[in-house]
Amino acid sequence: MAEGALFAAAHGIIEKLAGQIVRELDCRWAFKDEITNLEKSLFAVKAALQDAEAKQHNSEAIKPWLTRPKDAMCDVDDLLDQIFNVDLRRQLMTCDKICIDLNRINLESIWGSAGKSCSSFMRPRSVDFGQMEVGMKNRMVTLDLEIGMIGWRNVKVLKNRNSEVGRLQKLLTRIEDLPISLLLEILYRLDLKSAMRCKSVARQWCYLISDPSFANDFVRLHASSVVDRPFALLLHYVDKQIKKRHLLATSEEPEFKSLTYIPPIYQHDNIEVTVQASCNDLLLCCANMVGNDAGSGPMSVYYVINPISRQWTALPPMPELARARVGFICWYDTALHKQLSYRVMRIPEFKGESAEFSVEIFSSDTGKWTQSVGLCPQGFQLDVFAFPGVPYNGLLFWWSSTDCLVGFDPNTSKCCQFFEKPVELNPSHGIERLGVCHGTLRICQISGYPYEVADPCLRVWELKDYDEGGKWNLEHELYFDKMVSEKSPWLTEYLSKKYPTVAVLAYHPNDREVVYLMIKFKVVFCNLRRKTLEVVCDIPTADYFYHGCNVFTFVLPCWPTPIPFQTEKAT
Amino acid sequence: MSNTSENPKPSSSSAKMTLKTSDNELFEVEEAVAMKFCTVKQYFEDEKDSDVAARGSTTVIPLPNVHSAVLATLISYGKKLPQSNAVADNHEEEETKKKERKKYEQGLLKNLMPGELLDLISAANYLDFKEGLEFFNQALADHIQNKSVEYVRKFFGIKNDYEPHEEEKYREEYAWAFEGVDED
Repeated sequence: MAEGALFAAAHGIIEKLAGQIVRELDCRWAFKDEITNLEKSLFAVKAALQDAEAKQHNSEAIKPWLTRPKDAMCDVDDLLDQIFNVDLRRQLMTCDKICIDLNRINLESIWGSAGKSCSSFMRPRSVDFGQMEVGMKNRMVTLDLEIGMIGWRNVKVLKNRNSEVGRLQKLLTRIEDLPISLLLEILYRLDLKSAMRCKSVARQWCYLISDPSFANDFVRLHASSVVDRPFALLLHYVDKQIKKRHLLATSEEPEFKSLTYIPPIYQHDNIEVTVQASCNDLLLCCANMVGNDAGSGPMSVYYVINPISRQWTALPPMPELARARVGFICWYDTALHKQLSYRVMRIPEFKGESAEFSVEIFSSDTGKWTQSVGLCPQGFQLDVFAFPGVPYNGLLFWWSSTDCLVGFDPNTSKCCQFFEKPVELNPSHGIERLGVCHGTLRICQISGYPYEVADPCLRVWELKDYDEGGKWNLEHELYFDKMVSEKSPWLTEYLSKKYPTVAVLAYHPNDREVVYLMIKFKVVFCNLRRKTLEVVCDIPTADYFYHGCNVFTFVLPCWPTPIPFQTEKAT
Repeated sequence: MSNTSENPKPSSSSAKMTLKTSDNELFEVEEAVAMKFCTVKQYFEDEKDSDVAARGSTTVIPLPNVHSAVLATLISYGKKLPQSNAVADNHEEEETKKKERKKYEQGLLKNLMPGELLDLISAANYLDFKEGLEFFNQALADHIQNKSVEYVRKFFGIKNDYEPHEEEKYREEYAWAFEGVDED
């Protein structure tokens, strides 16, 4: 029954097309043959539709038209080929302005379920008849029909959004001067800020920009430009007066102003939110209930958040653990359109050296926490300070107090990489900070004061030959009294004193000559090669600052990493 | 003594083609430049396949979707591009040519009204002029880069279909994106 309606309508179109052409061209005899061809071909379209609709029937009439019986609709392309062949094109071209204006035909009601199988019907030939919009059940395709000098044109197929299809149909007609594909090409060339802002221009733009394929193409275009991605340091500190933890971003760029964002559900006075770890542009935070309403024991809710896009997802609650070591690693493969995948590894504190210890792992693939056993046959001892694990090469790295570097597989919690300490490392005290700079692991140590009678010196090692056993290379060796600050001479003076208090906060993600130090409650930019210092910002109260284990590096990518689920769990 | 009037075989650097615009203006363009318009190239190649001799050596290629002013700009841009059949320059010559092109591009953009950019993009798309499309797309993106949302709406002729409270919410959430925007 539906078929009846289908053919009636298709027939109607054919009539319309044929009629229009004849009318406008004034029955020029030269075109009669072409018009017959046109009719023939359009009937073939109808036939193909019939086949698509009623796939069970092996209609003999259709077979000659179908060279590839499997996918009926693919052959509609071939049929269109016949309609709009070269000669016809040229002849039509030599007429002055063919004013055929096919009003927008919505074939959705006509093609119905056949439309569904039209997934390959995406490559329009060009005919200067105007524009034909085709609305299908699940997809919206704009066929740009212009006179056939242009070959195949890529038509963007917008994904299925039930409520939006109707609206889209209307909107596509507004920017009729500019096909969507061109508009997208322009939007890809904007910077992140402008592209995000353009979401609020109109709903269609928001829809286009929010689509994951937009991000992929945007990144692809921008990745070719060689520019260092901007980054910021996030610092956690406690305001002694009000006993609240604060976040401070060291960069003034507007993008980083939202780094301190906390989802509204956790913005209560009796909830304490701390940043636990960071990976690329995602943060792992922990929300703890403060106060005495813990019935079954205090629980922690970890959540992964992208502060720029404000997307976040909460992990199932876990018992609260003070001083647990947490590691967070994520992967997002834009090339393969994969979803974000991440792991969180939590090591409850244990004393002393151990080859086996209890570990909790969360996998985004399963959505669950699992108890596991951390294995490190060579022996692993937690550092005094609760540093987060450093994600690198698919593993989570911690520096062991036994003076070695251990990398754990976040899927199995087995130790997969083990590196002995550098030769020059001073055994009397541990390292300042483990981090990644320009794609390699780095550690550093401040030696001299007050542990030994020697001039204070900062040494930075880089791990080379990662795949061949690993070898630490002493990259920088900088004595404090050689450091100079042009803009802040008091720094220079301070560092030449006997016992300057210096902590290493972080490495620059890309610049191998730079580290960030904390000197006298200020964040200081230090160029190791030039031996220069520059104050970046103040740390309001550096009271709760375990040598900066609450420092996190945030690198802004070309496009914010999307977080697939949005769950709001009540605390 | 045969009077053979030879139709000289067009060498790629001196052959010309005629393009006819929507307002019936004729543009004589070097083949090398016209070939950058892939639409024209395809038309030309289709022509070659069929009876060239019968048509003679001059063809007028109609471009009913392109206005003369727009085509003029596109042709002039196409001329400034490195020719595919040019002899490879040494490094110095290449550098000077690059600088010249940059200067020309800047001058070109300065004299264009922003609205014209849309026409140019549309035409470059129709002509399948890849380099032109890339250039003008980038130019338009640069133009709207730091502009306010209202400006972008006006420019593209888009109606705001957001409710005021929705827009307000959006501006709050992405406040960082609305900072430092140019005044209208």
